[in-house]
Amino acid sequence: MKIKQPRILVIEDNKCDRDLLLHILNSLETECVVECVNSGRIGVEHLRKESFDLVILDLSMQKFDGFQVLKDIRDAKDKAFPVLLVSSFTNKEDKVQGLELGATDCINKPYIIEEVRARVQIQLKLRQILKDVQWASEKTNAGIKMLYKELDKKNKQLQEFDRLKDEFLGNVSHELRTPLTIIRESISQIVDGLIGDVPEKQKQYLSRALANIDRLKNIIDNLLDISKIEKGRVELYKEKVDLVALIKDICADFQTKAAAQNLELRYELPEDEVYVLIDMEKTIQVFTNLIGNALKFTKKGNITISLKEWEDFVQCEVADTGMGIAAEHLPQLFNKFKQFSRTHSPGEKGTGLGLTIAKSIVELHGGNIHVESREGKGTTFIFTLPKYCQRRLVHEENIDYRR
Amino acid sequence: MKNKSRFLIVDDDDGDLTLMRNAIETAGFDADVYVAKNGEQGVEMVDDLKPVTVIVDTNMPGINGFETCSLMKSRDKVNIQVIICTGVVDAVDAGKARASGADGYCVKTSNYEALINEIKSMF
Repeated sequence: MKIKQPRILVIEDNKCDRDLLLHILNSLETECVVECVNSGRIGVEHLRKESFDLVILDLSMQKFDGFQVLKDIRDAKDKAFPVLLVSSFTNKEDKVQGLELGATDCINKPYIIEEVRARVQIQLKLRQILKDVQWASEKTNAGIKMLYKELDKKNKQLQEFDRLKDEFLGNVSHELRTPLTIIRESISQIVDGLIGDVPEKQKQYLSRALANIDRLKNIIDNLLDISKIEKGRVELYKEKVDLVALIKDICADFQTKAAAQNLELRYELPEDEVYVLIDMEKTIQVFTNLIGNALKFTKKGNITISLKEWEDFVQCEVADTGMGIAAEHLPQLFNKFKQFSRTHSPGEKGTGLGLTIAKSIVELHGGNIHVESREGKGTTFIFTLPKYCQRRLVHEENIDYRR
Repeated sequence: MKNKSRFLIVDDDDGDLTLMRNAIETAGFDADVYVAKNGEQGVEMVDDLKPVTVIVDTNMPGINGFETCSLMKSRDKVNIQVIICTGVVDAVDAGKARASGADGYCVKTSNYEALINEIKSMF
């Protein structure tokens, strides 16, 4: 298909002028289709039905007011076409008025053939450029729209894959847990001498097996936790807890391990009780994960747990003097399965889920968690938990914590 | 017997060729689909095949899609429709497509929906 020939509409009631125009238009560089009408009314009707690339309008027709015709044709469907006014323009103001009413250009009668040809040619060229630009922009927009649609589709697919992966992870973990529990139980009974006497050497080996089964169980539990959290299937069993006492208890559990690494595990806590409204088991998990990490990544110095009270919430900090985390890794720190080169010894690797779980638990409590770290100086995790108060208790009954 | 109309696809990527061909055939056009691996070959085939619609990729070794389109269009008496099909949408490229005389310009998506729409809009 060749680019369509431009269509020109001539509205002119004088036969001589019309014939002359036709002659000029037929000798243009660009081949055109020319239609001539001798009345303003028919011209306007034509324009409402069909589209033209140029209209040449005689301003001084006998039966029609040229200005009125100009106004009427500007109401046509496609208003972008240029209008050339032709007239003897004896009244100089007519030109200005015509241009103000939306005419594109004016040509004086009697015609100078070369001038008519040049002016018409310019208008046709401009019209073509405009059409090309419109075409290109339409095609580009359509393409971009299509790409967005595609992106959206791909995105939905990815979300579905992600969901399937989580479901798979949850199912597999669940299936692994049962046989593992049986294995653990059986070995445990042997070690405890319930099945018969066990030589010391064998006991040592079996104990090592037990320790590693516990590690494996821990990993599987983490996977199950994350899977539950992602499915929104976690429920908090909130109760009134003295956080000061709780932190002291948790620290006591870690003292032996800290001492074995020559690290000081200390706390800076208020003297009085601080009551919070939390799920105790899950909150212990947050502290355990954070303190566990701190112990893992600190070679010397200390780990400090501190507590600050605010009006509605408490702010807990777990700070270590360890190797710190590179700034570029901080934004992804809480992402699933992320592990960074903070780990020196390969044996220290975990699942990369501890922080994700901690974050989720804190957020389920309506709090938030963030990290401040400087490489070589240490890392501090800071999170908030809701304070216990009567008002909150009443208010909270209406809140669904499962996201 | 009336001859089936012919489509010609010009693309240097074998995978794209196959997929486009499948998309066109699945869309149910009553046409035979021919392929060319580069612009020069495409231009030659236009002379012999006299296809109705030609789909041209933009980036090809040798002459690119726009030049291919210009050459096809400049051969007189050949009344073909050329659609430029590209991996990247870009207003400048769309302008180039227009300038080279293309009748259509569309983006390659995984199911070639845009291309099929573009072909349909021409009939």
